[in-house]
Amino acid sequence: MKLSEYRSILKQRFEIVQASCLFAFRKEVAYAGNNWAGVISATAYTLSMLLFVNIIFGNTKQIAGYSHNDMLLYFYVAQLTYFTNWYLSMINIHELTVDVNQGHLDMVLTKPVPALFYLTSRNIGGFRFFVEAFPPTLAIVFSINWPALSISPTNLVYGIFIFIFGAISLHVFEFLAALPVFWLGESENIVDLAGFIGAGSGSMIPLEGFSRPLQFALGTIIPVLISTAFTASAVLGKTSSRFLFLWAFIIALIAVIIRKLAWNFAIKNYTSASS
Amino acid sequence: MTVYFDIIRFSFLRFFSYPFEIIATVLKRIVEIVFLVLFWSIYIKSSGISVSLPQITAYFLIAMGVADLTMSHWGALSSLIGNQIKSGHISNYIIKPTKLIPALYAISLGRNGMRLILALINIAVGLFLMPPKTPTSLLFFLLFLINSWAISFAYNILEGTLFLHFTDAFGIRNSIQNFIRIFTGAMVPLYMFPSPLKEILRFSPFPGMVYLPANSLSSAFALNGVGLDLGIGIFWGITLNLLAFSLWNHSMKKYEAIGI
Repeated sequence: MKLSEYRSILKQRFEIVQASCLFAFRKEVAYAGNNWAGVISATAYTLSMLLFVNIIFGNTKQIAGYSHNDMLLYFYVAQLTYFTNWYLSMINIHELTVDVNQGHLDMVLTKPVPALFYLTSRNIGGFRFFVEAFPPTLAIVFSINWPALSISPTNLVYGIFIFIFGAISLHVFEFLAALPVFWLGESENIVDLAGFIGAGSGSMIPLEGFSRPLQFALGTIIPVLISTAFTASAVLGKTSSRFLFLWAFIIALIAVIIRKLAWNFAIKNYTSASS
Repeated sequence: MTVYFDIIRFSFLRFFSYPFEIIATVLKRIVEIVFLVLFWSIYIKSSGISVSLPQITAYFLIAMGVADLTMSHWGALSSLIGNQIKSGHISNYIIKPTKLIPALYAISLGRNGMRLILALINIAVGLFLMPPKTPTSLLFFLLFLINSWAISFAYNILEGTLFLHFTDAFGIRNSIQNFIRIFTGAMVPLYMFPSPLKEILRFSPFPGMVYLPANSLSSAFALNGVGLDLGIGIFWGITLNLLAFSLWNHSMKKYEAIGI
């Protein structure tokens, strides 16, 4: 591929993301009530979880080697994973299942844009992401005793990259869960299941709490541990951050390739609703 | 009465159009239990509390079952009421020759039929893991379950009433549900709560929704103080239902239907 072609592809994708963000922003500010409702709900969830962590640590000093303070950082990363995953990935995946189910995908496929990229980036809820995520995550930030945490700058940088790779892997996992809609006509509950596995494994149990086989399975085949458990472990220096970085990078790379292959396969099997 | 059974049956059968979705629902419940057991096994190892893994697993299985059966955890009835009001479809039910709340309750039961079946399986597995010590435990379980149903029913109606006053009350509803999960003992058994909070919660309606029925079947159940718990539960069951229905009737009078 020539450099100019590559530039043109990048430019087109940038324009799609720009248009998607603008469209999502207009939609989000049109229903201000929803934003407030989301803020209230997310803040209540966070406060209830902070209460839960306090109750749990009323009877113990550590869980799987994590102190109360470590667990709060873990919860902070889990919340970031949730908001990133929901507003950048899950909304689009849910829309994809609805489009296939109702036959709207035909319209998308006729557009002169890369379909896969468009479908997975057409609704980026940036505004709601910040509005809803800010108050609850701030509550966690103020609950953490930061000076008591031993976080090195190297581990922090590795942690940020692991988080990004984890978010990509988690997105692919949920995207694959949506594809049965091409054959079955519906996959909402399958997507919910995938999202639930991601949330369930990431919000309560630190990486060190899982057995080795489970760490492997939930870090590769079902890559739901990476964005939260791997990140927290790397940032806190509980496991070698370089090792976790490499692991997360390889899984994300494989995940992106699988996503493309799976999409091509699904599209070949798509029986259009209108033709 | 037959018409409500028909509504339940019809709403339940709709779910069978997509068998893979049923499998996903069942798998979701299994995953939920697996992670719960995993977390508590780690917690028991770390904390050294005097509760065994089968005991805590049985508690959560029964608690989840009770929460699903009585709709105290996920508020299926309030969610349905909310959706119907928000979309304006509630007018369709108002003009039908059925009573509004029983008809909506029947739809919620039918649509969530699979959850209810799983709830019963949960309770059965919980009982198998930790059989109750005496028949008295079973008797108290049934009494507390009926009480839990009464409180949860009122709680669903109260939440549903919110939708008659706000354009979108799902945020408020979700906020309430997040705290309900903690205070009812659905996430942590109340005996693990710090002492002042535990004592305060005892006089609230929350323990009656999940904790008391689930704990009555556990081996830690003691008859001491059970009369007071039951009395508090009955008080809240009656009071909340009276409050819920008076608020619902009052709010429905102000409801402006679309298209009529």
